Amino acid sequence: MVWLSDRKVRAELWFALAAVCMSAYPFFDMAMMRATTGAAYGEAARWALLPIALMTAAILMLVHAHMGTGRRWLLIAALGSRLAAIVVNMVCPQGLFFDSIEGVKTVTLLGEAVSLPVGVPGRWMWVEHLGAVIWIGYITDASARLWRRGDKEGRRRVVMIGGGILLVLVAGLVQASLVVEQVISMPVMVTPFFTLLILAMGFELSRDVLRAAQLSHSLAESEKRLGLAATAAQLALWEWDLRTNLIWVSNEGRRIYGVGPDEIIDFPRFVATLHPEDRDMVAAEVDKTMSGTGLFSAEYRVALPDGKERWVAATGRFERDEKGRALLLRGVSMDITERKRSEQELMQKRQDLTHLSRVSMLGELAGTIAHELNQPLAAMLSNSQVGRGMFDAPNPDMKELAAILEDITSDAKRAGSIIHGMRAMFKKESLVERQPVSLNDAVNQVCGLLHSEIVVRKAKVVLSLAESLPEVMAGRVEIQQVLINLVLNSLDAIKAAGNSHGQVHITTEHRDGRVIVSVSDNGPGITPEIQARLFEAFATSKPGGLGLGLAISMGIIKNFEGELTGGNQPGGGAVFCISLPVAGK
Amino acid sequence: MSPEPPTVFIVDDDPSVCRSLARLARQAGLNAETFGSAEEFLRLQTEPLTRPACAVVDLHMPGLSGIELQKRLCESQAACPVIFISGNGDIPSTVQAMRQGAVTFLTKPFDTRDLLSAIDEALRKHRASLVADHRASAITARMKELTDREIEVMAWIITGALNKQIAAELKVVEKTVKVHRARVLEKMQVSSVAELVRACAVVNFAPAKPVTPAA
Repeated sequence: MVWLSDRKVRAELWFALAAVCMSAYPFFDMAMMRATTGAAYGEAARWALLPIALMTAAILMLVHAHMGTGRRWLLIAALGSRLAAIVVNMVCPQGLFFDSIEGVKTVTLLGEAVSLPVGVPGRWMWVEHLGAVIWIGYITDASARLWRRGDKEGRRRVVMIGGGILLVLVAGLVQASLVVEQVISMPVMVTPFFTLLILAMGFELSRDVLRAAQLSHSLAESEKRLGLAATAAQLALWEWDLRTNLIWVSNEGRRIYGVGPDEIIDFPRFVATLHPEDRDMVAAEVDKTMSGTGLFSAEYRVALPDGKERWVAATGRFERDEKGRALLLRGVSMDITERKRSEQELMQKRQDLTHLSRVSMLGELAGTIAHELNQPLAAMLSNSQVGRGMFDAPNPDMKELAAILEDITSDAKRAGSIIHGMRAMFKKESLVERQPVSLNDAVNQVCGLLHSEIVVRKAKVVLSLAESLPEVMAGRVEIQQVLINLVLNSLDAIKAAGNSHGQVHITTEHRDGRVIVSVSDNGPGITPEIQARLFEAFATSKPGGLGLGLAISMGIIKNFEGELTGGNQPGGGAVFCISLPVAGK
Repeated sequence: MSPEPPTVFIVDDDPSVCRSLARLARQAGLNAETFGSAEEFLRLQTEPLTRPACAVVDLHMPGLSGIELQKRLCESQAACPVIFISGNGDIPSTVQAMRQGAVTFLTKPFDTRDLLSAIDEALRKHRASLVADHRASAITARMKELTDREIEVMAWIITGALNKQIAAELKVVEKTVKVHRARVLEKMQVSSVAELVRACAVVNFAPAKPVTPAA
């Protein structure tokens, strides 16, 4: 039955039927030629219609199967007319062709004596002729449509099948009609015409067989090539048949997933090869793919039998039947362990560089940060000495003493928080831990840290912070580093311009699911030369500057899926904007 | 009635530092006044100082810095000695501060005894300068009592010239010079030429220059 479902194979079935009919026909032909009485001839002619009708029906079906372009209703009409002809043939006393046959006359054809009918042609012959018009119409229509499609293969089919059939059938039909009408004195010569037709169709169909053989050969070749390419590229090919739930995997795939060469793999077996932490993620991705776009893509770890880990990237696509049901998932996998390792190394190097630049930036600030720390220390020292001195007085003022102790406590806390902030900035983390960060807090902390630097530089920092600003997912210290970098750049720009009313304006706002921090100044702005290479490493406008600050800041912000942009304000001065996605979106 | 204690002006942008230094000054028996910025200090302290005072000033403040404050202070009526305190004493600003006459320069955090002794020194300086100012203004007032001729004679007296020489220079008789000399000493409330010379030095009154060399 599966065999029958293929259009090509069906064409061959109809061809076989036509051939059987064809081979049966000569018996009737012989019977007609050898008939000695009119009744015998009539009977032979009546039965001869059966194979002819069947054969034309088979040929129609063959055209339908082979070309596939004819109108269905025309086909049904043609088949119906064939059936009508058979019915009339069987119902009339003398058959379709004749109403009555008086006798036979004998003529000599190629030295042989053959019988020809003498009688009245059938009054139902129009049924046969109408039928002929319909099926000729069908074949013509199918041929014309295929021809219009314009491909070379289709046109060849039109010539071989459509043209051949039309030529032979029309010729046969005309000849038979002339015999029946007794216009020419010849026997009905159906056999030679149809033999020609069967030969033409046989040739056409055998071409298909030959081509199929060629195709299967080149398919085997291309499979070999694909296999070679896949092995060379270390690609694993796989195919998961959802109907049988079995997964076929190439040998390279078995190596990558650490599965034995003869093991049968189903989906649970595949999941079992994965690293336990990645199993849910992969299963969820498969589900998502099946119900969504049909394109599968994931990177996951495979837990090898020897206990090692392997990073694998897999991409695939679901193939669906006409009703949209997923039939199979086919794709490739690749071992990306090396790539992952170098990615991690790169990440580590980037973090080392970030840390290094942070430490060097803090080094530049050491003087003013010391000042920041010395303020509370000076107050504490002086307060504690005054407090000690109070005990030498006859009646120490206890209220004043309490106030002194409170001041000492708050100053100690202040000093502690400066030290704490510094330690966080100096600390080297192996991996940046992302956590919810309030950018308003970050701005305030940075202003606290830079307070003395700003005072020494005789600049002013103005804050416009949005209320109830959502948090972002980022590294607290890294964000502070970027802010410090931007503020210091602004201070440097102001200083370089000799501006004695330097002002740095920091704003925060929440817009379209992102939090935006902008740092602007009233310095000289960014020159066009620098603007072009603003975020490149070693691009600097500062004498003695390394030009790494903005490049590193850009790296930090990108790492948190954010954007860092810089330019000039319409009213003069530079403005830099950090834009980060709101946490949890 | 005991005299009012001297005043310490404390100028620092850090309120906690201000409070602690004020306590320290009060414990040492001094008046303390605190200011959050140089601008505030200059705005509130415009009266000429009549009693000993000094200022403890933070070097780095938002707005006007400590150095600039000292400069303005020198030009103003309320001039008084300045002690600088700073979180990070950078050399250029220290040098400039000292050149402008800062009493001392302390780096935070400092021992309170260092600050108190610096305050003592500053107050002593200011007291001395107040006394000097006072004396100078008294001498200037007395000099205003002198006639032009007497001033001319006084300029000659403090050169150490004798009456005879002065008479020759001024082309008058010796007797007249003698009368003038007695008048000058009386009006200037001094009992000797040496005292007169000192008084004139205080107000920078220059001695006369002889046209011909003394014989």
